Amino acid sequence: MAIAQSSAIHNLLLRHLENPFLVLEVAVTAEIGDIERQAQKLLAMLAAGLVEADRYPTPLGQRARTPELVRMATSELRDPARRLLHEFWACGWRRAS
Amino acid sequence: MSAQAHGVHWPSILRGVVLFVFAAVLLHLLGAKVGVWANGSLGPVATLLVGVAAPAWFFVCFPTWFGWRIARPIGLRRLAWFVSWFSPLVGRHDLKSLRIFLAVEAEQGFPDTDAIPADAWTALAAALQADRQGNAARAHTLVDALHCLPQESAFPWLARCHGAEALVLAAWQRRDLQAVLDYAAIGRGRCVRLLGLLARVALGQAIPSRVLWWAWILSPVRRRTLEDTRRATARTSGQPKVTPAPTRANTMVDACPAVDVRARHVALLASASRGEAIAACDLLALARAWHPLLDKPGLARLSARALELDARDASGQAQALRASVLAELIVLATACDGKVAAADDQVGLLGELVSGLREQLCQDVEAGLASINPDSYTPGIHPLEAWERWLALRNSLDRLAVQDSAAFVALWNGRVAGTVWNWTCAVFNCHRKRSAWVAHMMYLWIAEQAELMGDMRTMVVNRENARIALGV
Repeated sequence: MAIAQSSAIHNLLLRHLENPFLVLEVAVTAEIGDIERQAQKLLAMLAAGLVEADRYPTPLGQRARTPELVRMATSELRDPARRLLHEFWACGWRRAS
Repeated sequence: MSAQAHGVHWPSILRGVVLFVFAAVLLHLLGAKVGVWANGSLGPVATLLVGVAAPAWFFVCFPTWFGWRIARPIGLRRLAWFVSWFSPLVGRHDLKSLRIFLAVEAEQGFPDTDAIPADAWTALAAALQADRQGNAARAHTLVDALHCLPQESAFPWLARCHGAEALVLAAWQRRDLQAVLDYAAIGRGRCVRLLGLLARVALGQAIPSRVLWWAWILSPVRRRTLEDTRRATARTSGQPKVTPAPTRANTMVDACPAVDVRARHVALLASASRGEAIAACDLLALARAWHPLLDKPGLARLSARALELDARDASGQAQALRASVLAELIVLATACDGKVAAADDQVGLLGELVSGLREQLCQDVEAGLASINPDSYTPGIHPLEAWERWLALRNSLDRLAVQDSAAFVALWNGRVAGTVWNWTCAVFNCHRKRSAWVAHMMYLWIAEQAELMGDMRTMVVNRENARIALGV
């Protein structure tokens, strides 16, 4: 596989594994208020150094959760067009798991 | 006075004289000291051993053995290079490249000088650097190129032995068995052989314990591999068992049709990301599975949800989502083994995938051609970098030839042949000797492709160009 293809595939996979619904561990039907509350809770837990907050489950295993990732996920879900995209992918993952 | 005056290369002459004196002194010392000590008591076999075999080993093998097996492992890389100077196994052209390899191995990086030659040693150094930086794709591209070298291209035995050994050891340490086997394919020597055998056993091949233990005894990395060899021999000493085929990326696609297509899509991305081969039929099955979600009713459902979320241009958002899925499928298709084509690939998402893939591959070739524009060649572009750009173009062309041979022929006759030819001339005319190794390979590739295309003039001229490059 060529270098460009390899990194493109890796980036695509990374984007899927950083789906905001996975990062925040919220249902795809969650309201924006619930999402904001969950994000604040996770940020507080990360700031306190709680081990249960520093990883999140994905269908391909656990991944590290950082405050930046949580903030980015929240901002993604505030945009309706971006939320539509993430919701679409997260629906399939939830059904599979 | 310059090093090369009137066609005489003084450093080579000096090295020849030193090697001659070194051999003479060695022989004299052995003859005088051992002869006097033995006082005529040695038999014919012992005399041959002491008088012929031992001096020959000391003269031919000792400097590199000492340098690479004693000095290098304890970090004395300068000493390793210095004693290599005394070895008749190391060509004078290889000394500079060997020094660069040792520097890269010591994680000092490539020196900032234009005088770096492009040859097997520096290519191995680039591969080792890429491997250590985690750029497996680049490392494999370079190793693959070394594996398919033209017969005439120089690949010194010492580079095969010690250069490849460094790569194999790096892959072994992170337990990347597939990489161990890939790297071992270009390597020679006792260490490469043992690690290759251990990787084969770990992957399921039955190898007799006797062979493994002999390889271990002869290997220079006995302490590091003792446990692995024990485990491998324990595995092979039992009743031989047949090994089933490895779990393929398509397991989820074929065996679990109930699994959502999005999960299957990501599973395939994960397989491709691990470097596993993706079969074209798996990708086509995935594209077919996407159809119900992205056909007209599927897009209407997405538009409805976009309206619920208060997104602007709901149908545009749904179309954008479909386009993003298609783009991901095309990226997956570029990593596929074999031709992505089916009887029903004229319509729908499948049709768009096949045409999009062809377009993408043509764009890759165009990008490759743009990167080797001979008019924009400057001496600042190192021959190794020029070679890597050509390797990238060659990979793109290979993929295009599999997918769309007509487009490949059209591109070859239209632009590729002339551009690669002139690029190689630009590299060779600029760097001459330092680029001879890569120029020879590139000229020969043009000649081989031209022969396949029936372009006899290009073939003949480039074979001659390759011969000239080799003879510099």
